[in-house]
Amino acid sequence: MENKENKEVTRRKFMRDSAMVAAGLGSIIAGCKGKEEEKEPNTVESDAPKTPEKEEDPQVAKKADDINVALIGLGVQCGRLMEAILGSKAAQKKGIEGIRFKAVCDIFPYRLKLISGRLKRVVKHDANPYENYEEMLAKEKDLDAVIIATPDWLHARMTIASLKAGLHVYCEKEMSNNLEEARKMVQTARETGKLLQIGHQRRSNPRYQVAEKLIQEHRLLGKLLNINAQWNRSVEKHKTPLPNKKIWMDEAALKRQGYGSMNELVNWRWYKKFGGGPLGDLGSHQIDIFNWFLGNVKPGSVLASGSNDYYKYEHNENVMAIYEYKTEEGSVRAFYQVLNTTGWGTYGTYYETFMGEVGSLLISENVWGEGKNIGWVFLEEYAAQDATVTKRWNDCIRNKLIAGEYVMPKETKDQSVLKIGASVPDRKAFRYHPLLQECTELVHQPHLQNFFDAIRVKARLNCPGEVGYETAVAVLKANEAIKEGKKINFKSEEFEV
Amino acid sequence: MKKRIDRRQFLRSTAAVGASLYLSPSALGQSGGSKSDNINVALLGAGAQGQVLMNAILKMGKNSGIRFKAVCDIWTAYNQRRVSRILKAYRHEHNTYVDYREMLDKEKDLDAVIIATPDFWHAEHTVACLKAGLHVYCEKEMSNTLEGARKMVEAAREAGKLLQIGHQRRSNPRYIYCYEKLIKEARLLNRITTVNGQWNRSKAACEDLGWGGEKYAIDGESLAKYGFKSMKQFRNWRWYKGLGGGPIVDLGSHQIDIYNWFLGAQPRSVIASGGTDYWEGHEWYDNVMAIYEYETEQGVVRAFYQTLTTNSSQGYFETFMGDEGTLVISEASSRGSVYRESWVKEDKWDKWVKKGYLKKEQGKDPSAGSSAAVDVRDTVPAAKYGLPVTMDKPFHQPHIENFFDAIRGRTKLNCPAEIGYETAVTVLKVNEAVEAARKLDFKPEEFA
Repeated sequence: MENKENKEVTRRKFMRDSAMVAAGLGSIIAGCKGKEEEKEPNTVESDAPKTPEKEEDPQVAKKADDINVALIGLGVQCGRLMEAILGSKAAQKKGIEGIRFKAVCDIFPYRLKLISGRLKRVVKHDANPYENYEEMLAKEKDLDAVIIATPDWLHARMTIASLKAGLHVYCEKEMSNNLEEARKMVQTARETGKLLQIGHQRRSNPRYQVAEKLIQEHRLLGKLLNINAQWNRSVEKHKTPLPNKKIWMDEAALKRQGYGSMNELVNWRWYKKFGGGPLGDLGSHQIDIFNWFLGNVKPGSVLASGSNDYYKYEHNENVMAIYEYKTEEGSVRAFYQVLNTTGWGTYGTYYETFMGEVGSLLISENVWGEGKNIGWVFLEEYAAQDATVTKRWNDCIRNKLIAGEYVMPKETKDQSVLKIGASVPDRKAFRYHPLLQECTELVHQPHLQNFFDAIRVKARLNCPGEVGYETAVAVLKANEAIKEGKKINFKSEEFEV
Repeated sequence: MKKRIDRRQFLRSTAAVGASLYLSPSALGQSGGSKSDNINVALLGAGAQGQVLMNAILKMGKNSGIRFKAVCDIWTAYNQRRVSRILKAYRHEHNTYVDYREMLDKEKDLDAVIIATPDFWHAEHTVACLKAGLHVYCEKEMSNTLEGARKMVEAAREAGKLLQIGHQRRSNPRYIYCYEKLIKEARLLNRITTVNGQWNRSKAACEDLGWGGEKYAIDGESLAKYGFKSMKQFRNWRWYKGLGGGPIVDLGSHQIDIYNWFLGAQPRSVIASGGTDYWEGHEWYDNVMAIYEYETEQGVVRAFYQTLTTNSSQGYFETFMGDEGTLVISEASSRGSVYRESWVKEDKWDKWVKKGYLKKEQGKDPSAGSSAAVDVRDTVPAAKYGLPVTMDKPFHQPHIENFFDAIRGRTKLNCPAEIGYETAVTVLKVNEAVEAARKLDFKPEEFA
């Protein structure tokens, strides 16, 4: 940013480009899906902006707060992060202003060429391609920040090297599959004085931020006692399809990078040496929210069960865990489930539910149906008679944090309740208040925006290394609990670096 | 009554000829309420649950052939009086008792007893009734101890009498349909890997029960005689160790019983967490979460169960998740849907829709909705299907009918003692697992 010159793309032009991302980004993202690799070369050209570029205005220099970024790891997750930064016409989403990709790095030459080529052609970011991140850090003298979306086992070494090179780092979760290395990441951020944001993006999602306030500040649920969250992934989504064999890396090259096969590279998440398994990949997003919504309380213990007999991969495909928390108000019990064999649970694919003595909150990052995020708060019927409770709820309705009561139409007429003999009354019509705060951006964008704002000293990080570390401790311990077959207690100092 | 002989004759004849030929109502004397078809019952335990069962029986109508002949309850000032009044109103001539032994001594005309006393009394009451030559419908949990439950199974075998345990979902047509047709025959879920069940009650529904003041109180001596330290304990026995098992047993056993049934297996292990987090003075856990592991023929199944006494937002339901579909079912008729996984071809399920096994839900197929911003790995919403079966009776009625039909020799019990025992083994272990704070294994022989 400051002290950086020779920016070949002006800010104004950049903004023009972002507006045009539209056409091109679709194809960049498509490149991250793996299966569609073969078709891509044909679509790129037709997707490129057709309007001729206007002359750059040489009077407009690079703004002091433009940020030069390198991206390490050009796989599936990179697609989401790039889309969040550059915007997407398909999703009608704007990008983040003032971000320039200056370098991209991946060990897979095909991806490297593809992504760097597209960045150049479609959004005119002249990002230099590197296969080796150390070489990139040595040669690129113009960088401000690095975004790391490589397999978990590489996070620590890449983050530490980038921080030591004087760069701010946005590192995807899980911050590491090894707690000792995660700890070193936090220490290095402290030593270098550089920012380290961990990619638990719900922390910056405005919908989640309001939900946290509804619980902690507005106390809509009263005393919180239980949490139930799940991420259910279907059979078809459980792994990334391998690209066309023609573009595979050869075995020797894979071996040099630590991978035994192309599948190990593409589906690294299923291998113990590379990642933390579904619990780390999916669970850590949601278990992170437990800690946050409870007022930054860390779990006291965990019990867990998991198995891998469906796919017979190294990691368990299905895991259930029960965390126990002690808050100032008492005990909280939290259930978590991650599946890779079924995509549809009782309330949908993935969601978190918080249950207190006077109310409940259900929230999801997911978007479906008519583009609405699911999310509601529910008031216990008996509590609706309590004036202090209803005042809190009415204040939130007035302040447009939640909508007024909505009565869900009953699906079937209840025929079980009769004049005589109604044993257990049937569920009454379900009444709830929809959450009103939407996340209109692509889900990763607010978190990246927060990172860039923090670099610009306009905000504090929503998920600094320390928070990411606490979550990693909570999550990785569940794998241990499965192995041990018993309740594992956390010591409070385990969460500290 | 004549029908004990009738039943024996019936069984002999059906064995010789083949049951199906004889299952027409006229052959069974169902028409006109033939005298030989009448069943004389006693209600032992006339509290809230006893009244639920009594109401379900009364709902069967005056031609049901069921006659209440006796009511036994130690709370004469309320339970006994109330139930007696209702039965009189329905013209059931009956005697009232405080002591069940006296009832068994004096009532020589009984065929069956409905037992709805606190769990810790079940074994003694059931065994005595069976020994007195009576068929027994006993509420779940069949006992608060496995030792007691085992004695009940043995007593039923020795007496050659029927013992039905009150897991009434076993006779609910919606549940039978889901299991027989959707899971077993159509195999809509394909391989089941996961179960989620919950029963969530609001704080308001779990406040301690009172007894209407001193004028209704049972005297201390009588309470002590029947195993209670106080009126509070008598009214809220479910919360006390040695008397009941807490919500995991009261509520959980209904649903965990369904896990075993639908999976066709017993669990191999359980881990659990629970606490007396909220309610003052309760001995059993307010809120419990448990995770079972099953080893079925198809592979490992993991089954979660949660019961809460502080929040009702999610109600009660059981969800069975397979690699091709998900079934959400509840005793409450407002829930009952099957979801097709988005990767499973619609044709595959259309076949069953055409056969009438499923109803396509009205309205928009969620998978047709816009999903512009959906993440690459996100699962698109599953298509939803409804059940074609409704349940138009009080929840307990079909299970009681099954019991009476079995007494009449027309059918087999849907939940005989052996099944109730397996469920008790499955459920009671949760409280043990909370205490142990580690995974507890079940040995196959524990269920036998």
